[in-house]
Amino acid sequence: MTVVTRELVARESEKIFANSPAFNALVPMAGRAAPQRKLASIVSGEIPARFVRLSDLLGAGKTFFLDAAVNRLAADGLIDEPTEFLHADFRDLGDFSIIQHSQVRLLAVDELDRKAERDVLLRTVEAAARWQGEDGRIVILTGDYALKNEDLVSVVGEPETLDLEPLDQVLLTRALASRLAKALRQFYPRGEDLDAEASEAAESFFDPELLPALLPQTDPPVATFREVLGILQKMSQVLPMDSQPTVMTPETFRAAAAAEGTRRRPPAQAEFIEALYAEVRDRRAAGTPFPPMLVHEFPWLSEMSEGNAAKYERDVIDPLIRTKLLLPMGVPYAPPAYRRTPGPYLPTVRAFLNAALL
Amino acid sequence: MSRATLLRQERRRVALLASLDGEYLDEVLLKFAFLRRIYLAMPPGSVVTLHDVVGILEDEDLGLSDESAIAILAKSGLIAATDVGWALCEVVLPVHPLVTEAEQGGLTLTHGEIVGLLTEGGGETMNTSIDELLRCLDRTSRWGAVIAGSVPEQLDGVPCFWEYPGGIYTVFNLDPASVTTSDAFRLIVERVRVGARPLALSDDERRSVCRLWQMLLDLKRTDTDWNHGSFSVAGEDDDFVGAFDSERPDLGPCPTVDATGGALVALCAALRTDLLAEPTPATGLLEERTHDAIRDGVAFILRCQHATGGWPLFRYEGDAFPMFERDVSSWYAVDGLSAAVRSGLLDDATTAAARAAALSFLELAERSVHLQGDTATWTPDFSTALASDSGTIQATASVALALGAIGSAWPELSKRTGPLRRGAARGIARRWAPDPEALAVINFRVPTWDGPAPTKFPWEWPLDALVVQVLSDVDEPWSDELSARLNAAVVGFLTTEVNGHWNDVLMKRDSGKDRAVVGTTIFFHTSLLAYVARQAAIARSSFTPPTTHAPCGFQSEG
Repeated sequence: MTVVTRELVARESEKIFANSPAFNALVPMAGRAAPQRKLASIVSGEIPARFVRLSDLLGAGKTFFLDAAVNRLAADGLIDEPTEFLHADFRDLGDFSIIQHSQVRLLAVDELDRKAERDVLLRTVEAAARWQGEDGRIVILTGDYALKNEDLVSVVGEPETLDLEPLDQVLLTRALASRLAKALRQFYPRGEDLDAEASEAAESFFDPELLPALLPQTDPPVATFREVLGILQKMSQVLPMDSQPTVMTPETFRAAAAAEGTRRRPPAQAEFIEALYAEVRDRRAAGTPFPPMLVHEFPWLSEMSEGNAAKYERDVIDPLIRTKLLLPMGVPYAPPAYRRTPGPYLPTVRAFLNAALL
Repeated sequence: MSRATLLRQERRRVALLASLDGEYLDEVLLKFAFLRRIYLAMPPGSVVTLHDVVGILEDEDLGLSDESAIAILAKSGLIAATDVGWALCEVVLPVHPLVTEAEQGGLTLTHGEIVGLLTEGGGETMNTSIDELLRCLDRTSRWGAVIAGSVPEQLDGVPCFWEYPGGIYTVFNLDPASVTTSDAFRLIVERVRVGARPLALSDDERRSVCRLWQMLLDLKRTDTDWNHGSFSVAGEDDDFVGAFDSERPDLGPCPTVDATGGALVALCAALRTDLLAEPTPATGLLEERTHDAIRDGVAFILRCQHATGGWPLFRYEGDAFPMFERDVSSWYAVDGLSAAVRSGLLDDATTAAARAAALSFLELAERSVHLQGDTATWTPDFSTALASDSGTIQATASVALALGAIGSAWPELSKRTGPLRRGAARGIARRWAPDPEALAVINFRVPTWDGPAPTKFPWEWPLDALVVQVLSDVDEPWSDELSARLNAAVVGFLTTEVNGHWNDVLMKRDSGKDRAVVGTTIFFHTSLLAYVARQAAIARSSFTPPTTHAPCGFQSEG
């Protein structure tokens, strides 16, 4: 008889699936060894790089990675964290003159993403290049795909990249086991083998039909801890309060979606979503992956002219990106359109789930 | 109110509804967010950029295009096109079917009317008289007593977050928290530190508070020579998530300077209350244990100080792992030492060692200060190369309050601490504008038995409460303009108070949940105490009272 009951998970859902600064819960470090080693090689001088690019989706764990990596660097004596490392929002740095005479030699410049205007990003990278001019200084440019814009970063040459490994089933299961174990320790302070109970429960937490939609196999991957934990939290809140073992199923997702309700959308958005979901389902049935697509590559929009496509992106695609159903996977501010949210586009995890299960 | 006035008010409300109306929910949400974030915060005529509007769309996940969002706001009458772009309208005239049916100007609103309609019952009409503030202080102390009586039996400390369906307080997360335990106790005893009379407690309240006192004493560690005298809970600590290793439970979590300093302050204050007024064997033992805890706590704090003068969150024995000094931990340490010295319980050697420690900290503060004109500021952890305004305010306030604690215990050092504190007050005042939801976020590494944790953990402090406390505490005159800002902040405290406590801002934002936080409530409580103490001091110095009257302290009648 398991102790990881649906009642326990439902009651403790906010803590088990915490994914924001509002409530702090530990996440195990995994899948970060390779980029950590690379950063250590850069800081030690083994790799003679002066600029590093850490560019990934929002919620992918960049700050989490940097905190852990710098901790490791400090423990290995490669850096004195309080005086030689600075992790700053680019807006606080201005033209970088404020730190020109500091002892900082490893600087992580954060929030370099499409929310900032193009000129501001360019000026920041140029200022970073000037600041870096002195020997021994290394700059980690941190943000989203805007950092893959060669026009914006060309002033720093070819930066070394740090690639974070994507969220996969192994990592998700480990994180879940750790969170479940903590919840169990609160309710069963004298319990034995709670870690083993939690691990077992985490292994059987997901119905096989749910997982492919929760962790869709796209290239590049779209699942982040933040989005997946957020969805699981909502699902947990509709679990029956009983002593049955917890298994997240398609029915659980449907119940959570029903509880959330649907928001009425303008007809053009609604039509796009319906067609998108149908495409997801068709590809799932055929066993073919969903590739990133430009507007005219969506089969139902294949006859759209270029001019209409630009307007369509502004009027339909951008709103759907904001409601977190689509992800722009292109490089922001790239010519010729210089869009902030350029294609190709991929559905988000939420969209994959909606398509597969609703 | 006349019928004509009522009718006019109704028209105003209809105008507001017409302005906020929309075909899709996202349109209405855009307008509400725009009102909250931009329209009410800025004067009419202020320019609004597309970037401002897009920021709202992205933060609120609204399914609207840039163009449609601007069109929606223009149609609402909140913005209008000008030569320099879009600007906030002084007079709001929504484009709405009802407008054509109404009399000329019958459905317009001014900026001031919108503010009045949306802040009805609040805003500048809030009463911040001393009596009202005293009543608030009493409510928070009584809430502390409620919490003391609500801690589940199986916990060895007070948890951080509390839910309160129907006014019954229940724990949100079953992990106790070390600093929170002394914070809860301080809600009841803190007032004696500013010279106020203790709150009169009912018998039930007294029992609960004494139980809390006992609970705090039971957190004193005696497991190893190094840890002896420190304070921590025995298992998971919700103030320092990750400090406890479930695979090595016998070690307990790493204790902290912060929890120990906070406990010292609370215990010293407790001895000055009347909680032990009726001597019994139980109260006698409480007193004796408290004396021992204060002496042992001081010894631990002194062991943890770095040679550079500051304190880390925890100093490992033999410096097995480096933990750098922090402004926050140094404040807790110095405050604890100051309170202990003034308690008179320390022997001469320890008192001298405490003074030496305080002097070393003062020298660190003097070395690390950033002087600019007549202002003095510090950055987080004394050596951070760059800090945001809120980070600078928080670090400067921590150091200024620590220097104040030094001046209290060692007045002869005031000629050195005084100028720094006054400069700090000026530095903070130049950077600060009241905002009831502003937080100072302090990111730090929790100490674990394998060294500092790989990831950082945040504390969030209410920035306004911290600023009001330090500006009230420092002997630096307030300009009329600064007084107005401070009053606005205090109005904000009263507006956001809920039955003697304050709720967690981030949880409300994220999940819409109302949860009381002990750690935030103590900030508002100490802030109000400092503010009232200053107002009382100003009042006393403003007139010569008849000889039969004496300052009455803070015991309110109602």
